[in-house]
Amino acid sequence: MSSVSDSVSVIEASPIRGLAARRLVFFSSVIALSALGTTVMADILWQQGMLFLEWVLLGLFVVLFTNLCFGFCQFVFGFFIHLFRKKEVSITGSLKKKEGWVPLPIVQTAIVLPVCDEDVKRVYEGLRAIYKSVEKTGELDHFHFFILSDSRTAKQWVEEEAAWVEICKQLKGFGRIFYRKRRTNINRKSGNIGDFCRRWGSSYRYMVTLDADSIMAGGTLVKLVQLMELNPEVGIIQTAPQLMGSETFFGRIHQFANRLYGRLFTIGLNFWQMAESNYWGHNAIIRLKPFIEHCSLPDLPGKEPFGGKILSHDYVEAALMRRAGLQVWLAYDLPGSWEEGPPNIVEFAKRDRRWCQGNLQHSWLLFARGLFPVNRLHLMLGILSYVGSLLWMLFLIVSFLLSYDFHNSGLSAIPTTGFAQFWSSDLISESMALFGFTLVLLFTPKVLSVANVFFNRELSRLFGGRFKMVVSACVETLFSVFQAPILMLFHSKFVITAFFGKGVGWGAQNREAGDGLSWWSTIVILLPHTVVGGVVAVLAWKIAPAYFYWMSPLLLGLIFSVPLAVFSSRRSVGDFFAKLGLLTTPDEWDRPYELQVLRDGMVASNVSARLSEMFDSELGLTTVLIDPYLNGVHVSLLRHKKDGSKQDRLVFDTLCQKILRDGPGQLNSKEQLTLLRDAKSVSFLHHQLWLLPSYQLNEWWNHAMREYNLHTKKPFSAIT
Amino acid sequence: METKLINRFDAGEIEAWDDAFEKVENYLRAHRFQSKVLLAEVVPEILARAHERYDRDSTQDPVRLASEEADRKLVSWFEEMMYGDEEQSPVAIGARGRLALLLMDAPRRWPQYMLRPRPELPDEFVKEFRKSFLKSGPDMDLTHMVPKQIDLGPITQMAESTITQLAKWPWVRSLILWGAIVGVFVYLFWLTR
Repeated sequence: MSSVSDSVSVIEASPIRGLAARRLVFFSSVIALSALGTTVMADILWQQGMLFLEWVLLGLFVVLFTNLCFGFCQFVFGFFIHLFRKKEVSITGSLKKKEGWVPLPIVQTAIVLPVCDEDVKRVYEGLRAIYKSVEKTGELDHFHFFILSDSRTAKQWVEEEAAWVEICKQLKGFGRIFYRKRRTNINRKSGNIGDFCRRWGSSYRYMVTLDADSIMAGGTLVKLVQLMELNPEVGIIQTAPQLMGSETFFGRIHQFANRLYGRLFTIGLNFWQMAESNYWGHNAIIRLKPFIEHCSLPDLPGKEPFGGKILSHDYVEAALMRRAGLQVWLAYDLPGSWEEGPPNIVEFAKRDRRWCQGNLQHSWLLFARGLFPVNRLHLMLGILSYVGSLLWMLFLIVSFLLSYDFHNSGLSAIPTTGFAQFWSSDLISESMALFGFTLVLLFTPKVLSVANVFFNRELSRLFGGRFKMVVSACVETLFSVFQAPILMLFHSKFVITAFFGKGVGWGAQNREAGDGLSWWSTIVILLPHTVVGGVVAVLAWKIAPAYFYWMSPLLLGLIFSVPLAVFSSRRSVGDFFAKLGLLTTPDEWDRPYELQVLRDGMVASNVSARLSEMFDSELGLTTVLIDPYLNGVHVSLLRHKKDGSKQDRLVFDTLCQKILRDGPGQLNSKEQLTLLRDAKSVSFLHHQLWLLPSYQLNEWWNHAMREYNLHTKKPFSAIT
Repeated sequence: METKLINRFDAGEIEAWDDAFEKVENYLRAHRFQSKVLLAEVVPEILARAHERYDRDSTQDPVRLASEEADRKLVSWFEEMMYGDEEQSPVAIGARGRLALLLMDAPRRWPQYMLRPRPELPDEFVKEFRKSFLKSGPDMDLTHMVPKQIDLGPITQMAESTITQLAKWPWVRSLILWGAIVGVFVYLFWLTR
């Protein structure tokens, strides 16, 4: 293990006591449970003779069942550690040992917020909440905030700039809150972060990465910096973000599940991960020097979707950081870290599609030299989280075929060999026992999590009370049963289409609930699910009614996928449950300061008036060319290059004439952005619009100027 | 007695100069100079200057002349406050000055000082004007962040060369798919015998 130099001398990390024993116990438990289930399954299949399909089924079973046992063990270990082991090893323990404040380095932590076509108001209100929270700690001088924009439209760019100036004015944040618009979007989010590292990375010791929807408490940020200072062998500390802010039924379900089950899950995760945890891309602190030196991502062989630029950079960066000799920890017990989730199943699936492609790319790295085994396991678990759905679908298809074959064969269910020699049972009973065992593995984590809260009065109160918490858990469980086959089909499709070379863009996630999904768009997306469910239901009934009933939970989810998706996307349904005190989370009963600031900010009305909708598509270009202040801001923020070549100026001049003559609608998005990048052109056009009499301007501009002048008292920008 | 502005215009010119008035007023209001008193004072002054230029060359458009004078007034006001320390073009001074007004929130905090001559401006105002500038980021401290190649290992390298080879024959993937489709039907046929 190589040590890495930093501005602070690195202390070679002492091995964690008992780590090998922990992992031995944990993985032995997983293997033992998996072996037990596999043996019973093999015994059942053996009775019918092990033909090719039986071997296929058994192979699929091993993978799926082991995955299930893994999750089960993680929860069980988490539960017992939480109950009985109060001094569990965690990275935050180093803070508890140290008394008093650790002196923080001065202005050495950058908080970076990469954005790409996100809701501007949400981004800046989130920033406001974090900034004010840090301010409350009295440690604001130690942090700089960066909005790193990769936004791709003129409208978005101008809105972000205007909102940045406004928030800096309101918070007196000039010199602390910075805005950078990248000229060329290379390599998406990891390229965005990489650009920050190249420009300013040497000026900071640490970097906290956030997503556009992340919120972190000031106290948490301060503690993260302190932990890094106390532990120079640590490269990354990942917090466990909690879901918040959802209003739809779908969002509330996931938010509730995250809060109820998340605690035991992360404790169990930390138990075996320890200093080789994973990085999830946001709500984490990173030591910049080794990150810059060791974690720049290479291209993978081949082209997208499997090759090319690495999409899911976080897992790989964690593996590279570990390879460089630094530790990666999960601060599972550090509160004050939040994020938002998708508001409906379609947005959830869209997000999963991106992550699926990113995780499948990690296949290239499974056997890469130099990576630690635990990091390989993280990569594999990531792949399995999507490929597993395809395997599950194949399992169902193969078992369907075998069931058909068995029913047609006329064979009895009475076994003649195998374990039947030792007890009296038929194949059906043995199958039911295995099924029951599977259900125990599947639902025990939920039961343990509910019990963990149920027997804690204060915690129960924060979930709405014991009874409501239990009811909510039942609702969540029921919903997840119906949701599972829908996601199974989605994930299977994503894996298959990726295999056939169909990549996916990395667009902005839509976290806004809006009015929920429309019926028509949902039918278009989920019709295949409904059809598959219907066809399988008919075939299952034809095989045997008992088989149909066995499959019914899966089939119901598929057949009713459209209404399920539509109703769960409605805010009104979410509100209905919230009013009953169901599917609520501790943050709603005891709202933290940061979430209150965010909520107040989002609720506050927009200061500015708006131009009428006809200007919406060209709003960015229109406002920056007409409004003197926005124009001044934009020109000031542009890099002022020396006069370019004659050819460049000709291009700009041509675009300027075109936009004045024909209006901004005649410029495509690329041309608009090109124009906006040239300070000379932006200034020139501003002057021309105010200089020229109306008969020399395109009527579009005259209309825009008239509307602008009408609203001048409350101009249509964030700048007032 | 100074000739009133309205008396300078011929009958046929009133409409053009009304347009010019509106343009100048709108331009100043776009800078959030909302005070009617200020506008009532400054706009005629600007139009008068524009009209002087018009008298010298009546082929020029009144609206354009008035707009140029409005811009000139603003830029020279900015320049006065900057003491000419910065050698910049009028365009750059205009942008810099507007920015300073925005950052100081000058139109709201000091409406009475907008476009006032330099001697009438308090030092506090001028000082704040001069120090207001926008920096989108701290000074850059460039560093190299170069990807380090990852040795993917023999298994992955074999897979890579296989995939690269297969990529030369795009019909192979299609064949696999067709084979799978046919295989499913064959199996279903066998299953139902």
